[in-house]
Amino acid sequence: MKPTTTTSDRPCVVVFPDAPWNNTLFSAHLSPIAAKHPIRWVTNNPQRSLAGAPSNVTALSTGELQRVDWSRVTAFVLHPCWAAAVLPLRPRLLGAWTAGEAGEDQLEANWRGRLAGEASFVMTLSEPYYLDLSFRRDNVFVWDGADETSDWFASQAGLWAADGTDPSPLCRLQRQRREAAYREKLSERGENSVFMFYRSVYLYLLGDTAGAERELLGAFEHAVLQGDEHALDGIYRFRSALLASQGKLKSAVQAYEATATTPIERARAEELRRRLADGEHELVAVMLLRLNDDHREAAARLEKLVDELATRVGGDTEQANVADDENGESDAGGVQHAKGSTKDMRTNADGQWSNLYADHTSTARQLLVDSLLQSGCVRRASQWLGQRAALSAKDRTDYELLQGTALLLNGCRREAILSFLRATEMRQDAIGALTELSLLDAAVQRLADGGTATLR
Amino acid sequence: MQSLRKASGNKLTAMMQVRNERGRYLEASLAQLSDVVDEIVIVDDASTDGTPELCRAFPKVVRLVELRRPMFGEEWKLRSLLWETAVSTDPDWLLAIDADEFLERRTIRRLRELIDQDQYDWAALRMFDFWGSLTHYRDDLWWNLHRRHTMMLVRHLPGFHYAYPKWDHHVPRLPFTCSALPGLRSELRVKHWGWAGDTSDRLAKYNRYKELDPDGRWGNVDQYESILDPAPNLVRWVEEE
Repeated sequence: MKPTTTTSDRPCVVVFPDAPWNNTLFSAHLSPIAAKHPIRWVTNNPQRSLAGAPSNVTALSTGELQRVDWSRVTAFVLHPCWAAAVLPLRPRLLGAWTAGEAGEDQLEANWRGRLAGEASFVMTLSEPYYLDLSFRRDNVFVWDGADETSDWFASQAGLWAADGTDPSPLCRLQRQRREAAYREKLSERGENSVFMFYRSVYLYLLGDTAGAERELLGAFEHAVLQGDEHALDGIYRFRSALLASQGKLKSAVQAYEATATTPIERARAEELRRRLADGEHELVAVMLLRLNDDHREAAARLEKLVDELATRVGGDTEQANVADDENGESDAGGVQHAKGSTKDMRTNADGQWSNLYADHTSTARQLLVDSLLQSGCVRRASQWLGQRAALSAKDRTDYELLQGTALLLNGCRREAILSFLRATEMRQDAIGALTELSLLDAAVQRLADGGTATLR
Repeated sequence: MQSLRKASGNKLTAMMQVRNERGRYLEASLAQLSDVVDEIVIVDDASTDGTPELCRAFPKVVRLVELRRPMFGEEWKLRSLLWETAVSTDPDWLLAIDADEFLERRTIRRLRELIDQDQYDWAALRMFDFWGSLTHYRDDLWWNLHRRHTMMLVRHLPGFHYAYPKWDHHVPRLPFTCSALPGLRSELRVKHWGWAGDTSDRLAKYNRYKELDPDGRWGNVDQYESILDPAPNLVRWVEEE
């Protein structure tokens, strides 16, 4: 079933480790790959790092990294501190391997998020983290021992990547298997709110939003009967994303509003209602997706929306006679947006509509940058954050910090440091970015020396 | 698009299921409700004693569904029908009440305060089982509903997932999923006169429970037996204004 590789020479696997071979969290997962592929293990201390490793695993010193032909290399990065060192190398495929979030400090979590956002694919060992990441990006795998078939897909993803083949086709197959596994569990053990909720999430990720809604409502009922105090915000709220994905925006806003119990949540609900009434349908859909942490879908829609709005600001008033959708319960997001925009144009026939578009575009752009950052896609986010948006001192500082990080991930270390320095001139605490850089360097040094590392 | 939660001007609709209520408390109940709520919705579970005609005499009864065959044996369906009928009249709040239940005067006075706010979506009251008279309520091991709260008022949130448990008997009067929403447990009181009749009334109810649920599948056999307790603990009711 695996596509054949196009290169005649066998691709190479380079591992950027989290620990020596005999201590890595991933030795059981890497062993089957090592049995089929030669692996180069990045270390300056092979004796310490490779004790107990199979003979197929050999050392690659940090000094040799610049001499590798990375266009033929699959990099497996087992620790987030390597991110700024590996991403500039631009390997053919980059797999981020991560156990999960437990016991991690914020700095390390930030870098794990960035590595996961920028990698070609992610391999996780924990289902909650796998699902969290699946709401931030595509091409995520889980290898958690919960299901033999699911694990087989994960192992195949590792082998495909080692072979130089993008494992993304396997991602959907693994999700389908995970969903089926929950269906089987529910059939064997009876209805259960946790299993039903997980199944609903998998159905959503597979695109079956109607099925996901049915399962979610069952999960909600069971949670209420069990006295789960988070039944409303932890389970029912997700219905607003499912309805938004189906284009049922009025119902989606109502579903969110029903769960809005705090002043902040109620203010959000009010904003959603106002925007829906103003015809900003696609923006409402995106906001609901974001309120349910689906930054992957939100970013995809926002990129399209920002492009469309940019075109419209250029001047297209020909759609003014298109009928508006009165209740917002239409089908496709793109169509909703066009209708909503038309309403804006009609109600502002005196020529003010372009200002509204500009405002709309600015909001969409801000949301897009935030969703991309939430997804760890620093470099894409920096491309959308233009200088024009950087108005306040805080915004300018954030801009420099983001640009600096993106430059760092692109291998422009000197320019990155200059950006961080400019940020520090505007805000003293931005000096943390420079401190972070030295912590990262030290962590990489420890990892290369066959040790372990944290950023604490 | 309006907010789901209004802090004022809420329409309150009473919803009630009835069966052969003529000659009992229904007329008094509808008279009280007519002074208190904006509309009344009723499902008649195949009465044979002219109960629907009595209901129709009250102008605030805006919807009356008359079933040809009783659904009491599948109570969740009956409750669901009543709910669907009530929400079809576009209420803001619903008061779920039986034909033998009466709001205390203080409850009536403060009812609008309970619903004209935007912070919580249901209110639970204290329900007292009157026993053998309209002057005393029962308070003992098996008859202590008043020590807990009974959800009787809910805000209607269009589009929300309302569900009843698929039980044949002892189905809660309101969809159980409401309890996930923010609510208020109030000390306001409601009088239940269903057990206020004479001994023969109670014996008839006892026999009905034993026939419908002989093994206590839906209720509790010991509580059924306690209906016949010759000396229950009774407490004098003092009406609060």
